Amino acid sequence: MSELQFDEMERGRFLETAKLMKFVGIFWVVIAALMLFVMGIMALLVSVVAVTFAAKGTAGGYLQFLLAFLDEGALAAAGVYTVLTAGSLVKLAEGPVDAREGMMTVLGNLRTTFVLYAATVGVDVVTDVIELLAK
Amino acid sequence: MDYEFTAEENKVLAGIVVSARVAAVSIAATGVWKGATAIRAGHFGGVVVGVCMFALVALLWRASAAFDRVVKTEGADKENLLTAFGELTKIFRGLRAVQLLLLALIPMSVVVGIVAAASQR
Repeated sequence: MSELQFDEMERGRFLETAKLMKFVGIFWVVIAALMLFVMGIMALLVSVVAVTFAAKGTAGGYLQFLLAFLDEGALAAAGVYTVLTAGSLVKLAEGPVDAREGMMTVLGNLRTTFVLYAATVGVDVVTDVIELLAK
Repeated sequence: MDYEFTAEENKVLAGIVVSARVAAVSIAATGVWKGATAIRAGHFGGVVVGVCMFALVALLWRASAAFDRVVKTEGADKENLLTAFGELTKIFRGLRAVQLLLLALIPMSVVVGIVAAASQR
């Protein structure tokens, strides 16, 4: 059985993918960080979370707030892992690591990215359903 | 002979297939939800978001299918892996385009808001 090797063209494609992943990951992190910051400030300013959702003022309001935090937290984590995946892809493309070992690191990071992204979308769906039930 | 991933490596790849498909199904559910809500409310923007989500789901599914072929077939592991990365490139290219569009829309919506507020006075 032959060893895993990538030629120049394939490495070039990995670099292109890594560049796109880095942009998308950083964007997610910045957006999530901004949202978490705004939510944190809101919670601190009013000191009681329920006031933020004064119109509801119920356990559902707290739950929605918690879910929003979870949603943004998962998005930030997915962004961080996307950037990590991009970094490992760059290492693989530029060759300081063994191709097989490097690819396994990329794949491991990619799996975590997908899991975190699925969690983000999942929390989003649950939030929407709770919102619908609250109406 | 072409490179073949070991059983241990195939486990990691199988994990990617499962997580990518879970993400795809979740995005599809959100797309249907947001699209239906938007149609009911008569909002065109929500329909566009729903359509974009379905395009993302299709690409994610194709990428996961290529990763699945790496696990389940023999003789073309590297080729299938590169196909999967090709699909991932398309996904991230699309996501970047959406993000750039959002970035462009922020100053535009601020300007529209200011103009609307000024015209109400």
